[in-house]
Amino acid sequence: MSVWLQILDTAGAALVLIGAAICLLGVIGMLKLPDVLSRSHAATKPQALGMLIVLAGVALRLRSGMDLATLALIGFFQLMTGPVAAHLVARSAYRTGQVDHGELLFDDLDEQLTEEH
Amino acid sequence: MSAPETVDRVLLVAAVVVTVIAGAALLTRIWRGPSMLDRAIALDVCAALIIAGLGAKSAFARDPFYFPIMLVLAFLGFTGSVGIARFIAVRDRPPGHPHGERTRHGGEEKP
Repeated sequence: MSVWLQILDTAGAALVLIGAAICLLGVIGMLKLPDVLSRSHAATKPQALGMLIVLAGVALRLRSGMDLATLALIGFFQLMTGPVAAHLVARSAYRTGQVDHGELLFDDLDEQLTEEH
Repeated sequence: MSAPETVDRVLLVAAVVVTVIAGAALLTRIWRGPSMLDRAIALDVCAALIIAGLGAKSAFARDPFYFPIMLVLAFLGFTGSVGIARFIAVRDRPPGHPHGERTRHGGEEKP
């Protein structure tokens, strides 16, 4: 095994560790933050950034074409479905009244919903 | 086993340990989480952590055996939280929440 392949392997392992650490940061944010909206903000970090870094690390260690395509598909679907889930959870949190309206700086949705009624 | 491979193994085992610690912390959020929406978000993060752990295991063994499972989790992992947000959380209010009833129409001062 040449030196460069060994460097790629070690860089991949380091990227996997960094991604796992970012996941841990997001989970600590979920434990500490007080609100549903801020918790969903913290939950997006392990889903997007940590996941992409872990997948890049795995792609650096498994270097065949089929595996790279599968990893790209995994990242693509994660990026597709994450915002949908976060949007629906935030929408449901707003409509069931779990958002503290005194803390918001701008609340355009309030005026729109009030005009409807 | 050469020395750089030992470094790789240590890094990947550390990644798995960090992921397991994050999962344990997430379980306390699922256990406590005051409303159903917190649990929905936590379930989403739980799927992401499972994908990260399987990725670390695949990188450790250099084996793409678990890639289809990661693909299905990335594709379908959000259906649980979407279902909770759509159908369950509308009826569920956290106990003792100050905004349990909708205070938006009830005498808030407008600037």
